[in-house]
Amino acid sequence: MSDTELLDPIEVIALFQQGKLTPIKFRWRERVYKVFRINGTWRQRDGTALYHYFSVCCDGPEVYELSFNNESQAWTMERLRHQT
Amino acid sequence: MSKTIFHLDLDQFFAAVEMRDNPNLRGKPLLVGGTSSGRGVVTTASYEARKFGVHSGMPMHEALQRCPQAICVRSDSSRYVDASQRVRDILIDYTDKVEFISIDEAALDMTDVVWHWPSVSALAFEIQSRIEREVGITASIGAGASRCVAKLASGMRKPKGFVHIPPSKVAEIMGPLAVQEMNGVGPATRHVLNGLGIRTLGELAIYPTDVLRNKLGSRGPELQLLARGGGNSTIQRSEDLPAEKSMSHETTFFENQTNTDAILGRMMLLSEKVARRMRIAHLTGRVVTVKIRYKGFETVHQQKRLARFVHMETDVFAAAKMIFEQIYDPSRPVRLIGVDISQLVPMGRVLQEELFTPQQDRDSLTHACDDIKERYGNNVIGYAGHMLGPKDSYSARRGREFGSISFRYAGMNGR
Repeated sequence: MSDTELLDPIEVIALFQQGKLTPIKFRWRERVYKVFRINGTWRQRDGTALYHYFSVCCDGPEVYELSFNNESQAWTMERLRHQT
Repeated sequence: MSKTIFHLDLDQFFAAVEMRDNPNLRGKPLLVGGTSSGRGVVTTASYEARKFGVHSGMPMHEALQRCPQAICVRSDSSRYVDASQRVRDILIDYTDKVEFISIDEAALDMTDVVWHWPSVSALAFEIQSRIEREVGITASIGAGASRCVAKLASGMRKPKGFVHIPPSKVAEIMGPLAVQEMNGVGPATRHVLNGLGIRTLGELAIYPTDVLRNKLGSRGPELQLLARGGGNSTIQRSEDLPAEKSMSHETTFFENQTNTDAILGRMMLLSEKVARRMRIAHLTGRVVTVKIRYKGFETVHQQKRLARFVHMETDVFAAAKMIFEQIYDPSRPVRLIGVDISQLVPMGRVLQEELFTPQQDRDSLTHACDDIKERYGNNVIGYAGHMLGPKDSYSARRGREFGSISFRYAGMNGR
């Protein structure tokens, strides 16, 4: 198992519903990924910015960590976890 | 009428959060807290790793000797704090009589709540289901008429277990258990009890109280009361708890450190963290303690009582550096360094003393830094000395440029 730190900006289609934020699809490195499962979510405050983190799985064994910064309204691909 | 106390324990908490966020780790022996090179200590071992005799607090190199196939992950406190906070939010939905004992344990007084439910177990299962559904981890719950009974029950059927020991079942369920199963019976007490021929809680419950008092002092009758299912059943809400008595931060170096400047740089960062926590809590302290752990795990501590109360990093660091210079052996590589400040009192109580101390410029600088950190995060600004130590992983990961304020050690010392 190995992790790759990325911090790549990404585009995300997400659902804001009943106070809950759910990523549905994201475009990363010219490819669109459909989120099949959200494994876990957590938040972290850094100054006045609040980061919402999502650990998600798409159509493979990889685990993607996405973050949404509520201040800059930007999505980031934080980390990719491979299964080796 | 007896009380109904719940003790809730999050199962293999740190490992469970890691497995939740990375399904590839599920069902595998997992060690949280150190590195695969053997540094650090195990903060949580998954159940799969525990089968090999690995437990929390064990040095990572020893854990890897026992379970070489284990996967090591470094702990990520932000995710554990978030998960713990979500569990707290769920528990408060049921009662405000909740005492959060640690990041993964809580005690709840459900006496006034349980009557609205079909049974004690229905209430416990509802809480367990919500935690699993909303947080993605599991909890074990024990119920009883006292905190001790509830805690004992919570550990009897892990993971995701529920055990209720009502007063009428205490002798039947707790009686056959070994005395060391009860919280508060360590190796020394167990040795004394075994010497009296007491091996189980049932034997302890009926032993002559006078003999226990002779052998263990006041602790003897207290333990007997616990073995009989009695003892403390008061839940102290966290907001009613007294303020912290001390604040400390410590860090294990990624590699054993022999560079004195790097050690002092990290000690300055720890001093800043402690001081900032004190200011946020409106506390000020008077006793500074430095802890050094060398390669080989020999640990030395020394403390110093200051002439006045302090809450500025410069003051904490100046005292810590003075202690460090007295106890540090530069010929030995340092594994861990820690800074602690105690004898904390509310700032208002010592404000008069501070009014006659000419340190307004320094206060302004500190408050300006606090404002910047409040706005942009803890890692954006700090003293230049930090940069001599290992760089903070979070600021590096977020790609932040690390701002610095020039404040030389010599200047601080010679103030």
